[in-house]
Amino acid sequence: MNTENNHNENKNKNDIMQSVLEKIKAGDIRMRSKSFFVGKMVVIIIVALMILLTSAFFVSFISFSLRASGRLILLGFGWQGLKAFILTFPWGLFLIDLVLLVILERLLRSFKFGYRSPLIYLLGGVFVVVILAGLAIDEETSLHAAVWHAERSGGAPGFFLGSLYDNVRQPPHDEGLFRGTVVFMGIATPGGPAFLILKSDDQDSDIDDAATTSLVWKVILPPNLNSANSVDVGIGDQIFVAGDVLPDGVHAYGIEKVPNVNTF
Amino acid sequence: MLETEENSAEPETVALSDEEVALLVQHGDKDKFAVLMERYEKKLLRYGRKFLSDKENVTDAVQEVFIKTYQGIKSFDPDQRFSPWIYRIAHNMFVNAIKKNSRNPVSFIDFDTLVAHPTYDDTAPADREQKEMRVLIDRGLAGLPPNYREIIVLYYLEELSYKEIADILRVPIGTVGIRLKRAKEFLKKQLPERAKDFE
Repeated sequence: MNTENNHNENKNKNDIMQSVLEKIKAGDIRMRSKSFFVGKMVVIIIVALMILLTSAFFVSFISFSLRASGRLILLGFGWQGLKAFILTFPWGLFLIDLVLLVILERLLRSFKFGYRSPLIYLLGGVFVVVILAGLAIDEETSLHAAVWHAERSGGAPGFFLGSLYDNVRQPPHDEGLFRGTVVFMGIATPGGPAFLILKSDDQDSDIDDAATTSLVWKVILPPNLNSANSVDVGIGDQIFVAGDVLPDGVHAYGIEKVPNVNTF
Repeated sequence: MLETEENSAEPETVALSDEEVALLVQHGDKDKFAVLMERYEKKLLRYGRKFLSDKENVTDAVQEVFIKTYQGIKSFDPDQRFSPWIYRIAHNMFVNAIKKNSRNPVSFIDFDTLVAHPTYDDTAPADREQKEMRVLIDRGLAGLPPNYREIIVLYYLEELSYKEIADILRVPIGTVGIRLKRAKEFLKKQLPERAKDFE
């Protein structure tokens, strides 16, 4: 039995060797050139870098849109603000970014440093690099402001890129976030609380629509604020207001002046 | 003239390492490829038989491994070891064969590679453990999941180190240790059931 097994094994070996050597001699299989493999590695590196840059761009855009629309300030308004922030966060874009990071991680596994690292460290490292790069792009450059201006004047590169910037500065009114100019300040009376009248204007909206650009809101201040002065705003100031929309107006739980960086 | 088993083992070739032979092939000495096949055919057939469940595909799979090895020989870095490199090609080929033929393909997500595991000492298994494991392997390997089966084969039958196995499977070295530990436990647990089959 052992002799028969050995014979079969040797036969298999000879068949395999002969078959492969015949194919080599006939030219049916050829060595790929070194430049093929070098080229393949170069392509992987280029694709990885492109994914990294695209991912960082998306992160920077998310950061920019949160600032420009005022959603970032919601984080300073307690649990209500946090809830509104979570509801208005651009999760779709975030998910696309995560998919890009997963693809990038698979590409990095082509390299020794990639597969020798546990997945969580590799993904975590890539995530941190992308976040830092994205924030740096947003905070240190005026890339998004420039693209936004170009999109407004019809010169944004590419359909997708232009559509990304549609309404980027528009606060989500449905979630109770508004931006406008204070046009009137009312003090508290025995009959009612202090309030502001807020008016949106052309600078506030991306939509060239009179119905939207001429919106006016009555902002009712919280009971602990007996005048608009106590929130350190004055007539003519541009402010963000976070509040619950009720029939008698917006009941504010957070007010913040619009930072200069938002005016571009 | 095709190189055959009888005349490929010239004295000067026998003295050459796998890496030196591969370098010669890279520089155009196609006949020397027979030397590499001669050295690795038996090992890869054994690896394939233990790893794949369908034994009839092993010969085809090993032949494909050599074809891929020849085609990709110029991507091999002669400063590295040849053995993990060819085993890596074999691993990919066998995994693809399992995926094609199996109803339960190899999992896309490898949970063993998610976090860092303590690096176990990669000491060569003692003779006694080696003998015990070979008995268990012969009796119980078929019932193991593919990723456990493979690591047992590579460590105990092919006698590769943790580092070499990590390079073949493209996983962290700690993962090799933890997977081997789990594979041995799985195999030992299976043994009572397998022992009944032989009664």
